[in-house]
Amino acid sequence: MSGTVTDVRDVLGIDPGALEPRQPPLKKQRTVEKRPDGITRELYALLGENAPPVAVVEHRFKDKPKFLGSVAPWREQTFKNPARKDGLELKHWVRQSSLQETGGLDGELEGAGGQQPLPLDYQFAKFNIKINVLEYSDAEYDAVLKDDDWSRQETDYLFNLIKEYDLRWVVIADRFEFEGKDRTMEDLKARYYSVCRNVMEMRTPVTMMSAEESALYTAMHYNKEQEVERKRIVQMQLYRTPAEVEHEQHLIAELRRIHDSHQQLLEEREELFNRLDYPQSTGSIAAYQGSQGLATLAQNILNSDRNKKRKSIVAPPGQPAEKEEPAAPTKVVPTATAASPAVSSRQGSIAEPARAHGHQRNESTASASAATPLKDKGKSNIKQLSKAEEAQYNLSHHEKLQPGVFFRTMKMNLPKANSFINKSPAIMAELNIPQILSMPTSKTCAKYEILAKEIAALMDIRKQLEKVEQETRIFKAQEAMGGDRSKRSASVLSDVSRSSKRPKKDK
Amino acid sequence: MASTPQMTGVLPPTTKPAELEYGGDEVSALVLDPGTNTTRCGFAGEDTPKTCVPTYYGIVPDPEDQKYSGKLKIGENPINSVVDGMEIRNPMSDGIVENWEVATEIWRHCIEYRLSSKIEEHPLLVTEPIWNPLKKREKTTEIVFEDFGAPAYFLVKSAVCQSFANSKPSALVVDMGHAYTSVTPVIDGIPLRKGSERTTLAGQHLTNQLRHQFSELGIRMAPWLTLKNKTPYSDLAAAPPLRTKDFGFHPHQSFLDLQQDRFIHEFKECVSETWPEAKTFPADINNLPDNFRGIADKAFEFPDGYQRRFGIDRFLAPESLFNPSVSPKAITGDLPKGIAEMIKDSIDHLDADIRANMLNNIVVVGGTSLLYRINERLNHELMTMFPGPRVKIHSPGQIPERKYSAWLGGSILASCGAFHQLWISKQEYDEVGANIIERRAK
Repeated sequence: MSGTVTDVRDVLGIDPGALEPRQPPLKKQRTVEKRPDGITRELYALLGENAPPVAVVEHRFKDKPKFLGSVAPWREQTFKNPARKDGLELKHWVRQSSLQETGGLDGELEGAGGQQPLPLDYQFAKFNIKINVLEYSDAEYDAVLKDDDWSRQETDYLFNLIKEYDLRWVVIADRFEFEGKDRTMEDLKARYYSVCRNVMEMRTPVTMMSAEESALYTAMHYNKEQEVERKRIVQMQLYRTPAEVEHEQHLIAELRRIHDSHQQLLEEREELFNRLDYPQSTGSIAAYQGSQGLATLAQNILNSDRNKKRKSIVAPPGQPAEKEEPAAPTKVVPTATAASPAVSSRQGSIAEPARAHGHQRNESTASASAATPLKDKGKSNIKQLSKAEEAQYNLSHHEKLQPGVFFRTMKMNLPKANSFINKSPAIMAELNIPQILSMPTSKTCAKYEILAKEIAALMDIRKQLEKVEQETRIFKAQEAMGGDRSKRSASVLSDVSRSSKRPKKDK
Repeated sequence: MASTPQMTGVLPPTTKPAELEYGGDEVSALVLDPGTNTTRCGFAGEDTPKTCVPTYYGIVPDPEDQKYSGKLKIGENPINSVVDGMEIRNPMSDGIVENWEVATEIWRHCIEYRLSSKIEEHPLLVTEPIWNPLKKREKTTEIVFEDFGAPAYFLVKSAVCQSFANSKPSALVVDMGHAYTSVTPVIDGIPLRKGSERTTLAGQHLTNQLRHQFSELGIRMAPWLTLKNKTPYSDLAAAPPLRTKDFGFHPHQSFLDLQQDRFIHEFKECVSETWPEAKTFPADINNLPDNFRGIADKAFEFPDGYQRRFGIDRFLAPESLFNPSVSPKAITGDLPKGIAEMIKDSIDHLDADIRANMLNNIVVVGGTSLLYRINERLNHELMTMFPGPRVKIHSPGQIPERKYSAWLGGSILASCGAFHQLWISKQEYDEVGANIIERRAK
């Protein structure tokens, strides 16, 4: 064997001297045991001299592959397809084991191939699918299906085609040839669906149909004109000229651009609004109205400030910051008497900033307490103003204003009646008063409110007057006619009242 | 309910059809795909036909043979050997079988001699062109059951096979064969009659055009078989004399034509090229505009040793497939429509709803579709005709798949488990007669 290896080396042009270190491997085996710590076995094995990677080829044939178990025999088997009526027997090859599994073959199989029972079920027979197409009887045809354009024979022919081609309309329209008649696919569809609908309706009246049936019934509705029109449009779309296609693409690109810029505009506007909007207070501010409350508020703010600041102060010193962070907010703030070693080790560095903060806090509380007396003083100094003075300084007393921006005119208390909204512009125009106040000061607004109320009252009165006048007219007419005619006028009256009601009903 | 068009016995979509995903079930059927140039035959389930026999046959006059008034020569070697008085004929005409006796012999030769199979043991699937008339279909049925004694048989349209071979149930099949180029819309495996078109602008047309083109140039088209040896030359005026073999008789002209076809076929394969753009081919190739000067030449050596470089004129014959008015040999009678126009006509005949789908599934197959850049041209033509919808041409990349597409589809069909209920059995034929084909295979 070694002879072959040298031959191979010769052929490969490897220096025969390289063969010399072939002895060491035995020694190396020993050194491997003494490999120093820290070097993995695999890495160590790569060190030193290695034999070149030459494959040793033996001159013999490949081993026989070892198969698990014996090979399953295949058997040519005749089979019948249940989907066929003529009982044609075809042959295919079936693996014996799978035959036994399906029970197609009995134990007798071992005996001889002469008598071979057929598998019970042919696996592809289930693909023999036919759709159910409606069938109508003679009586049904005579009752509801007669059509001037379609003879019985032609309808039968159509239904046979539909059955044969499984409702593939394209194919049905292609194959439809009846007495040289020229029928489009729409004609055929219209006939088929109308027949289906009529028969369905006859068998079960529409009102008696189940949900499923009525859904099918409505689905069977076929609008031929619409379909023809749709196809015409589809066709038009298909045969566009290159210029039209280009134009269309251009328009689509333009639309997309407009849409994008619109979107961008909206986004920018929203951002602007967000910026302009002041933060809305969520809670009640009652708690902070007294001096005590203000002091707590100041302290709270300070506390949160301190928490924020500490990070920036504490982080720089040599200690690893990551250990610092989680513990800091909770444990350090109280006194420095905490027992845990982690906290005590940190104490030195934290003590100082904490002290500094304490100092700051004292200061701020002092300033807060200094501020409160001032405020108290201001409260007692309020000067009582006279009405004239108030008007002069444009002071007003009103209900609490809602936050946000609004127009004063929006807050005006105007009559809500429809008649007022409809007719007031005319009256205002008559009075030479603009619909929108040009200078809506509180005074003008108040005046305007009064005016509006008066107009509303006026209109109300006018309406009443009309009503009364109408009634008097009717009574007068009744009097003039007298007798039987009074009944007729009453009916007229009722007509009038009905007609006046109708529009309301419509709404 | 009775009137609901619903399917019964269908697996719910969530259930996996166990072991049926492959859907194949081999019943050792044979598939026969007769064409004008070659007849393809093989075992169903394989991906290429086992044998491809020329449909051309030779007939040697023999007073003793009463049946054919001569001795039949069938197969590649017999028809290409020089025999005194052998005439080459073709049993097909118009893409369909005309001479039944000989066609039967050729089919028998394919199955019994080439495949060494017993016809009476195998179901047989035969393809047919869409324009095959009822009489011929009945005749085929008769032959298969009476003469061959096949246990089962089916006749299927080659366009359907071609769309199946490209794994498409619905497609617009453009089959560019030897005698005919046909366009057939196929919907769910059913070919449509309206919208099917065909034209003779195909392989044979190209061969004739090229033959005319060569004779116009004054090239001697002596076939290989008749020549002793050749001397290379490139000047027609100074051509060396032809050194022909002396057979002691003069071979029949039809034999010489067939031999000429062989090198013209080679020319088609390696020199001819389709102009890749629609409507830009120069009207006068002798007076080329400047921008056409850069066209690459290709050299070709004729059997007698004449070498010539072909420039723009190598585009001429393929161009005539799309634009018949530029044919080197003027077409007599009405000018046929170009292939692209034919596809457009076919699309125009279809329902508006399926047109876009058809344009998206154009399957181009057949030997002539192997002309260099023909699909590129077709795509360009169709894109110009239909700028709106998506036009997609599907063409198998493998040459055998393109050439034997109809056979391959037949092979797929005949080895499909669900197909076995469609076979027409001998029993059914005995009960109904040859007309069964019209009922069962539409």
